Amino acid sequence: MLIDASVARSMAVLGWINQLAQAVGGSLSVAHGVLGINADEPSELRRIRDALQRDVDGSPHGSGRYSKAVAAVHGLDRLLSLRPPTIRVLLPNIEEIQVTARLTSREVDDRDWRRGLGLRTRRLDTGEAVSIAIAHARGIDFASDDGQALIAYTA
Amino acid sequence: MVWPERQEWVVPMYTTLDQQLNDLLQTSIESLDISDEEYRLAVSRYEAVGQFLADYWDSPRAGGEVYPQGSMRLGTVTRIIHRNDEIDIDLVARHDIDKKLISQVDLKADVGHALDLFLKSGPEGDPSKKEGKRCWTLVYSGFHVDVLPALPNEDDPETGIIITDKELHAEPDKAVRRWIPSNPIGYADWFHRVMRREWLEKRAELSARGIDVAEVPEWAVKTTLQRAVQALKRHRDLYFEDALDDRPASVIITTLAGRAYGGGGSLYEVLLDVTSTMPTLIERQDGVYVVANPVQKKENFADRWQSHPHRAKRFFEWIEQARADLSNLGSERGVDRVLEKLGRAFGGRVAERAGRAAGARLRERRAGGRLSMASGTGALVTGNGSLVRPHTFHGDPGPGQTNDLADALRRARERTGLSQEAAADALGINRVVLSYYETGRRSAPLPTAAALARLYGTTLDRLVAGNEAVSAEVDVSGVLYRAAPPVLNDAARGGLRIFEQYLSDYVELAHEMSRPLPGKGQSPFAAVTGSSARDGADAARQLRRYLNLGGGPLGDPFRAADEHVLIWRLPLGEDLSGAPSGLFYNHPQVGFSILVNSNMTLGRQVFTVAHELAHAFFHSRGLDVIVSMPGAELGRERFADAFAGELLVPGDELRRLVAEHALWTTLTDPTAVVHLQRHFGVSYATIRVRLLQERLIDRVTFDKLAQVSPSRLAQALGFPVHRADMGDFHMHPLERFPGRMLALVQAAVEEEIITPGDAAETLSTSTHEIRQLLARPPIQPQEQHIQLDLEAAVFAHKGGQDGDS
Repeated sequence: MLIDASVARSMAVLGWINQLAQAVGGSLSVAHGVLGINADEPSELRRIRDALQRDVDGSPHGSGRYSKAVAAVHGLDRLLSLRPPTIRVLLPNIEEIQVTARLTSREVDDRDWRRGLGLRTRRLDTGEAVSIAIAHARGIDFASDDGQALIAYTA
Repeated sequence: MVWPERQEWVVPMYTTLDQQLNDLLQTSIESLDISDEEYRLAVSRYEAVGQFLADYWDSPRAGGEVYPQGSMRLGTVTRIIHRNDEIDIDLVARHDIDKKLISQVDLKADVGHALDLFLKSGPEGDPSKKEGKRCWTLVYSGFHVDVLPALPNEDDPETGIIITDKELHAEPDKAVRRWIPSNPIGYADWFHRVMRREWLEKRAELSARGIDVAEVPEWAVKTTLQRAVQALKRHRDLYFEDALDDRPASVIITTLAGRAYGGGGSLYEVLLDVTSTMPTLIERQDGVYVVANPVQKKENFADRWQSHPHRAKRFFEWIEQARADLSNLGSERGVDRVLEKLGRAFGGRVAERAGRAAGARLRERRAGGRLSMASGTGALVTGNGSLVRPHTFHGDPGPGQTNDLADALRRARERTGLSQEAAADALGINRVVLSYYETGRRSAPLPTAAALARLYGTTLDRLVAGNEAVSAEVDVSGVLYRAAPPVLNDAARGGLRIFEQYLSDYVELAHEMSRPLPGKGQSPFAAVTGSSARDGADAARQLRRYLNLGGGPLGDPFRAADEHVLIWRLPLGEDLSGAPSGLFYNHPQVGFSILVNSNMTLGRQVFTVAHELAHAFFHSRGLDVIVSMPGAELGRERFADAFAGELLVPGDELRRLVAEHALWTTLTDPTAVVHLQRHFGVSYATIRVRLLQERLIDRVTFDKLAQVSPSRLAQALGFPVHRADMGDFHMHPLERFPGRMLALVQAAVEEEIITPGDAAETLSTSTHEIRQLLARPPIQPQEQHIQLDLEAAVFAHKGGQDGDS
């Protein structure tokens, strides 16, 4: 199963990422960019982790908000340290890159194409788009809590 | 209106040039391995020796054990180039008797005698024997077996041993006392612990491919650390071919590489990392170089560098050469060029084998018609797509094999005139990583490629299509560059590009939401021609009346004129000799916009906002761009400074406070001044200047007040100190934006015009912050305006000056 950043975040915060992997056969996939291949690489999950860390830094010690944020950071850290086979980072091939570009493009033609797929919003963000492009092309199950992303995937 | 056809599962052969390089490197180093047949032969040979010695020592009083150590045990066996690709196998022959019962000379002789008997027994392979410094060597065809006589170490009973040293034999008394402690089993355990995680992962990968790992021998699974050690040993052998005695010992290389190994990455990355880190791990204790045995700290693997200091020097020269050779490898493109450099670093035969292997794989895929080129990464993949043109010479990259997305990223950046450093800083990524993306050594994650495209004024789809032309309707950066002084540095140019991107996003979002844009801003005030302080102060009072701001503190200066001016805060660089503190731009679609350099103290940012408001409301007739660089002495700038002072600290209010609270005599007290500063929400410098301008203090007091550190004093008084005032310019990502932009994004997500992910991308932040934005009103600046508490003004501190100016 390929999961998007939002699902990965939610599962990580709950500490359920390993259980989710087990439930789907032992391995989860994410698109490159949602998670980095190298530790020094920017990624959506890394940005979410940094945002949660800001919550920790900005919350009074011992408060409920602080405890919640610390637990969330811990969950994200565990997620970021996972390796194959629990989590695999999939790189898009050329066709998938081109689909990603169309799903995120500002061009009128591409927007019409997206409308034809049933999308209401102006476009998808790049992380969501590359996840859908890979999952769709390779026939992988896709999990997202973004309604527009699911419309595009099932179109 | 349909998706592209579903395609077969695509298995990348090379997804990036980095992987291509890594594959060639990996194949080269694998060719240093001994074959399975050689391995089994070597094992049978040393087992024969071991069995013979075990029988020789078999007595009721003492037994013994023979086991492999060194590279055989570590899995780092490498063919020895100066011995015609032979290999060495190291064995420990441990005789289990008390050291009091035998001398070093006798132990060595005893093992030598046993080996003589072994040779007379007519063993397979017909070996001969020779003596080494600490061991006996059995010379077979194709490999040597070094047998190291040893006794158990009673101080380290689990796995420790003590060994002999021929140099000590000449001094029998010392030889009795000074056995050399060693622990090859403990060392190998340490080495395996270092790489255990990767080793388990590799086994798991085999298992995932349906291979029964129980059937795979341990030695057949090699980690990148083991490969890196093999590579370094081979590089060393070549480097020291003409000075074999100076070669650093394999155990030094293995120890330093093991300590430097970070636990993951490709072989190429691990080698680069390890060769950079290794020299830093060599300690210097009392002038002696120390490479400690990680399981026996007293043992210094580099002890011989003390008597041969030039070996230490040569080690550092060699590791630097290895690092340079590897770096050069990464700068090459094209299989043949990489192979050529591999040949120089690791030997021609090694490169030849890698070339043959790579060529065979390419031919195999071409024959299957499944080879295509990933134009996004410039690498070869198997799967659907346009076929790579056939060619006959393996390793020829062919004219069509370019790294399109990588090249497009580089070209787009160069077109904007930004350096790699400025682009990387603007996006908060590592410059080296960006260079990897631009050279194709790593695939750029598409969200990062999209962010870079935006920074360069284009879009991902245009980059993918090979058309990285500017897509913005208004060339903001061009306008600003032309208006800015020529000293504008790289960081400032990066910040200006981001400013352009956000303005463009604002316009697009407003269109999406069908919100009318005001067009070019029109000031309600007549343009001023005067430049005196009085003119500036008068203008500030006019604006206060116009905006109904009253006579008190401004509150949040970044929001005070939100309805009329969009105020953005972006990093433009800390070096204000090459970066503006702020600028005013009358955008043709969104109107008055102010950009404040966030790499300044908060007080200075507040002053800059007020200063730029003067330009917006009083200088915008006829001037669309005004860039404020420190040190500018134009009359317009003097006017704006006076305006800012009066707007932030109205003279009437300041005098009223001083009079009401009888502060005439205490204004020499920095504590009272800090309270006034906090009341108005300005910098300490601003309040000092305003007190002087309003003649509430004299020049002597003004100078005396400069003697304190306002940040420290404020902290001592219990006031919060903003992180920017402590030199930390990191901001909450949403603090960059004017309230109107945040409100627009909020509404767009709520009305499902954009997705939360799109919102996050637009605001260069994460979906986590978008969730927070949706759950509450737009974020407020963190600086709190503490109510004036003049009664509590007790002078508490006199420190040094700080940078709050």
